[in-house]
Amino acid sequence: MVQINGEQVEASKVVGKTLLAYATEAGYDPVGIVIEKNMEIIHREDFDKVNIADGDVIEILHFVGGGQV
Amino acid sequence: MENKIQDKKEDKLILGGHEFNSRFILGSGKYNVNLIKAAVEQGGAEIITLALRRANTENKENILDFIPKGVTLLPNTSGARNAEEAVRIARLSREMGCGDFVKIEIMHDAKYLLPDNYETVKATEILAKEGFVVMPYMYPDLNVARDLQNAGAACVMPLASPIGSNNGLSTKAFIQILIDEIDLPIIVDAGIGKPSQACEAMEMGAAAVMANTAIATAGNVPAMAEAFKKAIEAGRSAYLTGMGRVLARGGSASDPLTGFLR
Repeated sequence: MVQINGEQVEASKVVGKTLLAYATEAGYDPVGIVIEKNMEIIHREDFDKVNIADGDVIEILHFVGGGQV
Repeated sequence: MENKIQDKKEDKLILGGHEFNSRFILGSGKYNVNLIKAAVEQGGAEIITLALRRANTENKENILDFIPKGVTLLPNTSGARNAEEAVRIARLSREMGCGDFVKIEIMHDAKYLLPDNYETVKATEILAKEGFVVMPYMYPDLNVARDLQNAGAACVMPLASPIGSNNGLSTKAFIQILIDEIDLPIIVDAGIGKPSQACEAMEMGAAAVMANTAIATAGNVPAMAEAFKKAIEAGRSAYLTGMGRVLARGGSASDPLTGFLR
């Protein structure tokens, strides 16, 4: 299993894909996101170089409106 | 009273070496993204806060597309419960490529939303060393403000009242102590509910005011942003001019009392 934004995803569906390929296929806008893989920040220029592995915990984040809290 | 006006054009807010003409920091939460541009423009804000959250695939709206160019983005660490989480959010936010500013917010409880001053000092120390322009939200305590300054904070952001309460300057006396004693911009954050309260904070000598809920929950968001702008400018001018004195008792006529009927 792979955990993406808190949800369990079947490994066979995502393992081996690059982060860029996964993000694009899943419908994220790669320009407006940051990705953290196993608590490590993946730089934007590496989105197409880093592959998803079984057991990964991935967070895909973006900015939203916010002021205090 | 001392007149602090030298050259109005030289009256800049300086944070981490960056200069700002506006002393109004606008929050972007709780209202429609379509109103952000108008609120920024009507309010004259040059700094706007944002939060980092999990992206979703249904709503691909990018808030950055709604913020006018040239406005400095101030990501906050909301959601963080300790220094470690705040540092993690700050680093991720910086990865978005929108600059080095970060507003530290660390809190545990959802009832009062009060900041954890101790964890805030720890996060400030780490992030300042990493080159962030650190703007810590804090409960107004002089000793903590000194710790934040020593830790490398670019300013200190004491709360006026609990976040989102619109209750105004509940901590007025303690914010005044920070203004008088701390040699950093003191930016009043949280709880400012009306333009008059923003004006009062500026009259006290605050360097800037941050507001979100007061504007987001107003009948007309851009018009309220403009009202805040005017109030903040009025308060700043009053502070720089030197306020008129207050009498402990009695009155003092401003007209000559003699010369006609007496």
